[in-house]
Amino acid sequence: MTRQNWKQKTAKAQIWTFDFLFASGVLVFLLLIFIISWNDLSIRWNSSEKYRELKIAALYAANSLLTTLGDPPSWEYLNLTTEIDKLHAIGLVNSRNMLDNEKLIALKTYQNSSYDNIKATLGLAKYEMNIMITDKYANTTHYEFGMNITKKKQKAVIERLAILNDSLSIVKLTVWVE
Amino acid sequence: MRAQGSAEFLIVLSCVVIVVLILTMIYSGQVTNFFQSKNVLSAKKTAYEVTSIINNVYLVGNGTQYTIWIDSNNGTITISGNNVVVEKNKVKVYASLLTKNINTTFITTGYKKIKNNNGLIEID
Repeated sequence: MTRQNWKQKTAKAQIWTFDFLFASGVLVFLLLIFIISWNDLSIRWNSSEKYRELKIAALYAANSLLTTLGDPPSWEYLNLTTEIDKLHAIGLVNSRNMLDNEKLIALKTYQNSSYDNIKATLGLAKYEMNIMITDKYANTTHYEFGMNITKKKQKAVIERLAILNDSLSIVKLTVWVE
Repeated sequence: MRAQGSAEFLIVLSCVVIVVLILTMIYSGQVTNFFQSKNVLSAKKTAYEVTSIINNVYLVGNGTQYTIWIDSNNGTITISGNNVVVEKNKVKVYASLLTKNINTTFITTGYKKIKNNNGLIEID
């Protein structure tokens, strides 16, 4: 074997190994980018899906509060501590958008003892909630029920107009994940 | 020098095989997650569809009626308290209802009439 032949043979093998190493590196890099992007996308998708669920649950709860009497319709006379199994649904009005003082007082009365059961009945078991009823300028609070949102959380806020004692009021329902 | 070339090649090949194996293991986890997500999505779709219909029938009031088609691809649908529970391929999804006053705890396949009868939600 001449010196030139020997050089060519060894050089070939080295080049092939280097090419292989380079191609493998590129392949690994691309695979890593794919896996990282996939993870990032699934995290973002999950987060927006959870927020959508939160908003839908809040909308339904607000509709239940302002368009139905509840089930039974006179649920305000139940003792919600001992007769919670008789409460099938909650509404705060005696006709559409006409707030009922007795239902509001009942809700406030059981604020501490039945908070979890009440929010579960409104379809908000997974979340925390606050219901605030103010005058139409949001200056005076007539009733408040539920937790106070303390930190900056992802929340859904639904504001609806209703009549309380012949005056226009704002019913504000805030729902968030603790 | 030839022998050296083979050794380099073997080292590089082993490294690549190890890296590819690790990536395959991670990726197979992703694939499992993907199929699991597909099941969750499908169960969620059913749960939210049934929940939305029951909630709207309840909200609109007495006499409201809606008919839906439930097939075996929807999974097993039960009502527990004020939750619709859909179970599909070992995945369980819950969706909350606005009322607990429902006349059944199990929704079978076929056309189902969902009706509000004075606050009682009848499914048959």
